[in-house]
Amino acid sequence: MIEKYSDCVEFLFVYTGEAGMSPLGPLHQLPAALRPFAEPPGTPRGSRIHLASRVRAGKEHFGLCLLCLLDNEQGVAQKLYNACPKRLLIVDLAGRIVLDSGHRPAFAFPWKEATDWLDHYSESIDPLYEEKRGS
Amino acid sequence: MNLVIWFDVLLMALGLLAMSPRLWNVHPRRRSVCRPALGRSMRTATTLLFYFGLASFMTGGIDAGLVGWDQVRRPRIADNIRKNMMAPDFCLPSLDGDRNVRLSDFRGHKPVVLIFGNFY
Repeated sequence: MIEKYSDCVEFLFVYTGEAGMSPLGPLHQLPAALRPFAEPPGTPRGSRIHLASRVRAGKEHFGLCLLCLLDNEQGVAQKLYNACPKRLLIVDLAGRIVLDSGHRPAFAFPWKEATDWLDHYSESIDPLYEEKRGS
Repeated sequence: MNLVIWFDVLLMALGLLAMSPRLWNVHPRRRSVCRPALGRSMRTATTLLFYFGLASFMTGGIDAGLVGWDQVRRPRIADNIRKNMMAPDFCLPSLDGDRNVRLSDFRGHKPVVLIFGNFY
């Protein structure tokens, strides 16, 4: 999706507060792919140890080519959007929210609706957008 | 309102309705003559239902049991985000560089797909 629409739409990933690796939530419960980027087990919640470097490493590992922002220690953006655990929104040119997933896990995001809106938008600014992308 | 609270209210309403003398007796003024519409065990059950609903409503006991203590104790943040409203603005540091990115900077230039999340 990012590759397809990045010409006409900006993708912003806001890295919000982590759940924290408490003794009750050991590292092995994480999916194997995410373990290298997790903070050490037993780290207090919200300690943000090596946060930027871990996120950067994860971003490179997963090949995420989108602008990544780090929420601050107070979790201002997360609170502003009530974005726990995860949330997807599309903000149009006028700054209005046109699509909102609600706060839910990423696998439950309304990807189809998002793609439909992006298709509609890209065609509205350039009717030949799809053809150009194809060529 | 929480669905569980509605359930408690429903329990109370059912109990109250069933406890009503009009249901106990066909004619409220002639209880000794008319046969009660509900048997003694049913009356006891509905009375208990009422008090159970009342108690759970007052204490939030069922709510706590079903939703989980953790969620009950955690202050709930009002979800003020609605479709078609102006997206609340924020300014955060970018991971890739030293610059700060403000959401409103994209207004009038590009729509924004905003993804909130983390690796775990």
